[in-house]
Amino acid sequence: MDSQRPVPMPNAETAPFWTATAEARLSLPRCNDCDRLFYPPPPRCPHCLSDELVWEDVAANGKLYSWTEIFLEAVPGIAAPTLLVSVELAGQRGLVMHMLAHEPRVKDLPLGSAMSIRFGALENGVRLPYAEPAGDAA
Amino acid sequence: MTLSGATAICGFGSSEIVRRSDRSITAFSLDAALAALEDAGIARDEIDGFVGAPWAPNAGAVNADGADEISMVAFARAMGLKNLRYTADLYQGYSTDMVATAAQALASGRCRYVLGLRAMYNVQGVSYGTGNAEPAFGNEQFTKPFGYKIGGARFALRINRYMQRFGMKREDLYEVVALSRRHAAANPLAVWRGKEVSLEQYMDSGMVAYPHCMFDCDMPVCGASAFVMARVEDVPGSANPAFVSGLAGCHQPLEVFDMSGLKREDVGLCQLYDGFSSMVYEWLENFGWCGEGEAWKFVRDGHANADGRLPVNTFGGSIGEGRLHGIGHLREAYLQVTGRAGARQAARSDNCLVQVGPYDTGSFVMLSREAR
Ligand SMILES: [Zn+2]
Repeated sequence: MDSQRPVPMPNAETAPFWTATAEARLSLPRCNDCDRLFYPPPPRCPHCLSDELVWEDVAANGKLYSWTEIFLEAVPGIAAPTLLVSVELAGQRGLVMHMLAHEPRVKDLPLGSAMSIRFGALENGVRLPYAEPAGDAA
Repeated sequence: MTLSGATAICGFGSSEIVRRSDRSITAFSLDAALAALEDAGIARDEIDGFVGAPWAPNAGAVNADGADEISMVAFARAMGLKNLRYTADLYQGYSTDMVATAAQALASGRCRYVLGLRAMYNVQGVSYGTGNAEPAFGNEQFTKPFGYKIGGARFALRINRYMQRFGMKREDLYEVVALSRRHAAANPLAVWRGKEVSLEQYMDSGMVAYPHCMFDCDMPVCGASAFVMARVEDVPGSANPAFVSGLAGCHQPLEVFDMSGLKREDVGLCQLYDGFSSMVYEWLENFGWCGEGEAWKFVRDGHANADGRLPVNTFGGSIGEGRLHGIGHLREAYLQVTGRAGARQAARSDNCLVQVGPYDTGSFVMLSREAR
């Protein structure tokens, strides 16, 4: 199928994120003064306004925070229904990423279940992250 | 000086509300504005201020002036307004923000009579709720490839987590829809007037984004409402004023009580934003009418009914009336506070709280029968 999925158009603040995902890594900016990671990547730390954000690779896993199944045509190029999940990154309370999941079993998992973040096929220079239950083969 | 009680809404008007129309958003806007002027007893040429919030917030919006949005420029031309001293179109603002902006413009003396307008439009030939496959620029890089904003998915994520944490079921969410339809029965403008929904119909209906089904969403419509605001001393003698006693933004929500000098117990009823049914729970809990995780029981047990402890969305909300994006909530507060809500008139309507916008944005207005 020709993918018509919306293509992220990186800018100066977000390019390191997409460069990393293209290499199947999860990388996020950290403010060393505040010792916090951010997603989506901001131009400055929203707390102390420092622009000295340092990119670091983080473990691509976390806990199931919530999910919804969308029955509209939610994402061009992806047939409905679409399973959208929120994953709270491991050890990063309150840092939640939203991405698709392809494994319907997610809907039966309790909140807090271990999830892995994986990266889809390289298209237009980008790999989009997706989530699946931890332990499933990549 | 304080803004509390310095200004009043002195008239309100509405167009009809319909699901589709061949008439333009401009025509609906004029209907609403002319009705508001007549209700307030103000002539067109006395209007020297304008506040709007002309944005079409749906994923399938064409965002075209005169199509699904109407700007101050386009509206002033259509209405022949020629004496405007102060104007503001509030990007991503709500009817409650319009009241705050008008109050400040009036209190500062920039203008004397402000017309506030909010219009919505369901454009034919485009899909209202879904997006297209364009590149995802800016903040959309992190939302559009995942459908995060389609069909209220971000609100569905929020309520699904809430349901799992607090043991709530879809049968409980239905109670918000049932309440909205019941209250809409007494609202002559409501598109769902006289159309009740059984639990069976609700449970069988098509899902939008779990746990929200079709009935949990407000229906896209064509329609507009408008109001006239003035300083208290300028309210025409023939008009029915509702005093603006409290204002707040979402970062300091309690200011709506602090400014008005009112306590929660003084508030007789609330109009709470319900773009999705689950949204009405937010401020019942945040303002302490019930504890965290308990608002669904408050609604289920009837406390938000027209004859309940705290009537909520007495006009049916957006879910019962149609998606006017919060101007219907403001209109109902005005009618209740001025004692003009007819069959819907609440027993305690001296003070009505209006909240418009999702949990992480939006703003608040308190309207009061007495100047405070
Ligand atoms: Zn910082």
